[in-house]
Amino acid sequence: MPALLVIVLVVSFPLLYTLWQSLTDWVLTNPRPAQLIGPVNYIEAATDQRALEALLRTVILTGVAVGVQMVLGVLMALTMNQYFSGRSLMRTLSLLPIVATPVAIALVFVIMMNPSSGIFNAGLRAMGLPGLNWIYGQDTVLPSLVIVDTWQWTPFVMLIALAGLSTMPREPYESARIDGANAWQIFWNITLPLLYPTLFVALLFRLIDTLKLFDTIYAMTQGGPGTASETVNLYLYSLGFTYFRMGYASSLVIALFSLILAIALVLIKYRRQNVLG
Amino acid sequence: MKKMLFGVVVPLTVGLALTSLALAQRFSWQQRSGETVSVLVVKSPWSDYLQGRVGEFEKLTGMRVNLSVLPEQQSRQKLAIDFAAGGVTTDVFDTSLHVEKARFLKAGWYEDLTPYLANRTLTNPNFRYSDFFASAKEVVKSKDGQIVAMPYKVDVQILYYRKDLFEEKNIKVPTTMAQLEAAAKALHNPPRIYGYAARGLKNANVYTVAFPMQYYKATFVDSNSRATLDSANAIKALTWYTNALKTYAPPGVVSFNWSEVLGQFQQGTLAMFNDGIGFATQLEDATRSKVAGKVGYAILPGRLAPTTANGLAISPRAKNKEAAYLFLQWATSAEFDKGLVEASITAPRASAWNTASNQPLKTIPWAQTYFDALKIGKPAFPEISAVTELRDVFGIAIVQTLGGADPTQAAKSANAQLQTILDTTEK
Amino acid sequence: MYSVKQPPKRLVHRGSLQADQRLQRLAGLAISLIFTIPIVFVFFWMISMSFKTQVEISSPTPSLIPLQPTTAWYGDLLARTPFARYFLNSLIVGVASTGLGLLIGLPAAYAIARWKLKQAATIVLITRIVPAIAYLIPWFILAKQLGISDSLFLITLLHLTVTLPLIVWIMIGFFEGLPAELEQAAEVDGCNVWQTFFLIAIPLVQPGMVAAGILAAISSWNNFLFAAVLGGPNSQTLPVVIYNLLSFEQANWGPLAAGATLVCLPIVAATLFFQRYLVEGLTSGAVKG
Repeated sequence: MPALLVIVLVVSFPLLYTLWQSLTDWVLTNPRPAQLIGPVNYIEAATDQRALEALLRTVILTGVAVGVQMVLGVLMALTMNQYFSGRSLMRTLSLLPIVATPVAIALVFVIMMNPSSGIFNAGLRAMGLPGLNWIYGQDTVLPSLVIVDTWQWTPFVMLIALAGLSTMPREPYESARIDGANAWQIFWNITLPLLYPTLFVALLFRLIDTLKLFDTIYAMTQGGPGTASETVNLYLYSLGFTYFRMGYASSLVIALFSLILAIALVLIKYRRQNVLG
Repeated sequence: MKKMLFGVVVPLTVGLALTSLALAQRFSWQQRSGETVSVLVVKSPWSDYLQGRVGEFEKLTGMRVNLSVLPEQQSRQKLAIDFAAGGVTTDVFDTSLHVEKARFLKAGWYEDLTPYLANRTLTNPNFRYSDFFASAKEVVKSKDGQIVAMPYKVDVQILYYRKDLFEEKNIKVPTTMAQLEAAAKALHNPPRIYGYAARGLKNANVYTVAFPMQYYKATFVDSNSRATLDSANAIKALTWYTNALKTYAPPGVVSFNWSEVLGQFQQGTLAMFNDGIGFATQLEDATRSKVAGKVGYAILPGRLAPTTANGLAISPRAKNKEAAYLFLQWATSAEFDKGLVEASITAPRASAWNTASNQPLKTIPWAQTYFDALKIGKPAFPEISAVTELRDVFGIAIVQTLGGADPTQAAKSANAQLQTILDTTEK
Repeated sequence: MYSVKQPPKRLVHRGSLQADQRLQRLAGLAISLIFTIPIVFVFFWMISMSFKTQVEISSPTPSLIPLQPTTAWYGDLLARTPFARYFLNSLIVGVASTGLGLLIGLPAAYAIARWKLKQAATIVLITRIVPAIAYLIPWFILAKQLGISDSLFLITLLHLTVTLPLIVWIMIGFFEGLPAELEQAAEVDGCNVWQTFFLIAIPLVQPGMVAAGILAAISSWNNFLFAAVLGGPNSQTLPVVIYNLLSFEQANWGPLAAGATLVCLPIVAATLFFQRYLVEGLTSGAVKG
């Protein structure tokens, strides 16, 4: 029980503190003390174009990255669930991205994505294609970040899906085969529905973590070029620590937190109703 | 008894008073022996040099120095959090005066150093404040005469060019924008040589766009805190800068900070760029630079030299300000600055350049350019609180224009955003 | 080699021919390579870059393997940064925050599992949702009040906010998996709750503890933001030092690659050694429904 209390304190104290700050006009460099100004910061956020663009970017980045990871992760799990020589080695190797230090991985991708000396463009040129600007281009930076996030987290989805596959009951498959179903029908009508509860956990975790992704973007682009990869988390970070607008930054922290919480709760509720209920 | 007491006590007190008076007038490095100063500085050639010598200071004073060397951004954050929470973990901090002075002054984050300088117990008679360059003394002063920091670096923006390539094609050092472009065009031969580059990265790029801004007589903000980013001249400057980068710079320039520009030049793939003179040392370092000995240093076309300055400041909430002041004094002393020049690093004291054993004006290839530029230099940024916001907003406009947006539109939108910010920050 | 609990049931038709089977196995290997080659390549490239000379690194036509391998970047890195000290810092913080996390987290997870405290489980999930930035200023103030700024103790406490929820989350799954009869039997024999916990439950969930511990240690090792903003010269951890290399070295890829390799090395080693536990930890809570 004391442990639960510790957890509650650890979570609630910073949250309540941030909530309170978000209702003040606290700017670090103002000599006068902060004053309570009510929901003014939230109203500003709702009309702040940079914040809204950041929100849109966050949602798009998360949607695309998690979507790709879910599909690839399931395919990868189906592959790794087959028997073939070297399977255990392949599985072990797939574990590595999940545990590798994100900042270090980000740096390696920075090196690989360099437009002039990077291996990615060397590869493109070898195939007779023009090089891309990757994280240095306004149009290519978000897809580049999707690549990095997908590289690092598809194996996580795979792992969870694999765990789901390993506990599948055999009966539905046997009856399906008796009915003469083909492989695709079996996958679509049996495997996938049986996997849903497991995939749900992967989806939930991936959504939470990608919505608040920070280290990778900070290390690779710091939100640039311009603001082309500035997500809510990155924007509120500069608001707080470069513009010193702690009050306003806090309102965005609360907004981001509420957004993620809402998505998580909706998902959990949906799951209770449709999958288990 | 009473008499005796009188006889002993009075001379004793008088004697003590006299000694302390004598002591009070004598400066001693050891006066704060045993204390600790926490110092936060931004990583640079200057901080490398400091790091190498900080042990000497500890020996000299009997004090301990807790030195943090961090990249610029992180050091800012650290300072911000420190002040946000009441501020006592840092005693001495590195301040970019061209960015932070107005804002930090308003916030009360600078200890006024005037009384310290006047205090003869605290200030070494050899310190000679008058020895600093006029521009350095100017930049550390507030409007009401406070001294907010001790200057350790005054930087000027210059044109770096490849002497060998210029000679090969018989090109003269440009003195107008047209000549600069002509030179870039003549030398541009990608991917072997790119004609011209400068910073493209948001925020950082506003420092180098200050050159075309000054050339076309444009300002960022007028004297009444009105944003002027969409003036005809400012749009001219923005257009020139982005066109030049789009035409002559290597791919990915939109994310180049000084280090990437410098890296290209060091690799020998760049003919010209404009940036602070402080990077010259790295270009002349043959272990890192393929072009050492081939670099020309020139005043920018239009005889311009956007300046920036850095200083060491004391936090008003520091626990041991006197000890902190001793550190400041040592790290900006004539002797320290002389050592800097001997290590080919700029120093803001006139004496350092005269007394250095390496005869800088004869042996350091960029020294003369530095002195000439100092005489004509104008601040790169306006003295407002919102310099960071200005740099972000206008920096984004540059990035957008590089990405194909219309310069007038980008400037207009940046101007509106900046005005909204200025309305709250410059009150 | 590792599998969750038992090898997956074969879903292929039993009567297939041997040749058919062999073909299928080769096909499985080929398809799995599509996934694993990109994974391995990133690590391979990181290591390869760290052994290349500057000339090779900046060449526009990169070679896969260093043609003239050099260890200069490693020497450079170790000579110029107190790498060993930061390594030790990371290690101390990782071990301490994991140890403390287990100490506090095990009883908590046990209580949640045993008395089915659904609300408590949701709170644990919420810790994962709070953006880490929300912690920075409150913790900074707290650290100053307690006089622990720039100490490994502070960083350990901060990392505890990551390791503790993780440990609790994973361990709930393991404690829930224990048969209730065992505990009831223990209580009939006169054990109190703590005795049941220590003597019956803990020995049975040891694999889970290893799984939770190793994942917690890795997440502490990988954590960047806390030490980046709240650490100081005495409490810097490795990811921060590696990130700083990027700002200090910029286009100098050699030292960057060497640094990244050194940070990842212990984790790769731990993964190979503890992979079975890792898999159990990562998938805990996913398959019970």
